[in-house]
Amino acid sequence: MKGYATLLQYATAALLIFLILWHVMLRFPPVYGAKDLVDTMTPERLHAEITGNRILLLLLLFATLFHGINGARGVLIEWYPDKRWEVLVNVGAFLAFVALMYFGLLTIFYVPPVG
Amino acid sequence: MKMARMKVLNNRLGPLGNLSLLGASPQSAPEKIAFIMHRITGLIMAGFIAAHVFSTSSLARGGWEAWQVDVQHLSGVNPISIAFYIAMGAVIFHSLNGIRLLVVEVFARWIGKPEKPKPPYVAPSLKGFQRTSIYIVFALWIIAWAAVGYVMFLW
Repeated sequence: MKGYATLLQYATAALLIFLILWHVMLRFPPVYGAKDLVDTMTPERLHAEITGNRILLLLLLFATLFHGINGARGVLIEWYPDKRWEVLVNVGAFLAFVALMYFGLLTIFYVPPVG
Repeated sequence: MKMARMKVLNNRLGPLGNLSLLGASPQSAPEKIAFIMHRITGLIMAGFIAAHVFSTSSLARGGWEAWQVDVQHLSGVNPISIAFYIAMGAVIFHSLNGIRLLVVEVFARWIGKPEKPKPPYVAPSLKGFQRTSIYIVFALWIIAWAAVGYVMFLW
């Protein structure tokens, strides 16, 4: 199980290089011909961005949450090698993953119409 | 045996155990500094991702009005935009150093080949392009972070 988690940690890392580059580039004002950073996030632009890229956003959400939470879990377990602490961190990591997945899915699939 | 085990258990340094490695000099141990930076930026990003996913969902929870109120915090210099800028710095360093780690750890490139240990012995993995790549990561990080600062605050 631990071996698969490490493998998935590397796989999501490789995937995130491209997905985060894409995600960040969309906030670069010339991409939309916007006047500044905040102007790239108008409701019209964001609605089109979310509804048009649901699969990529889903992939980004899963990869980011897995990589981030599994990485933080590893660091926390390493700090205090203790069985009870490890169980506590694992349960906390699982709950954080489920809760953040819920909020992320809410954004991707329940984006309200503009206007 | 029992005493030896007790000694091992008492060696748990916790979070400060990582920070103690910061005493390493950039010339002698850039790998250690990159390791600590990767951890610190990783933890900053874990907190940022949680905040980002939750705050972005404001548009689904409270509609576009709630979203526009949230987004206005990124305009100008204020505590939230500064925190966002720090998080961007963490994202950039973690990504660049992550690419280096993927190349070195997964593809086993840039770390040289094993050689006979003749004194003064320096492991091939601690010299050559692997070490140069760390300096490149730090240089690119500073340039990219400055560029993000320009887009966020001066554009």
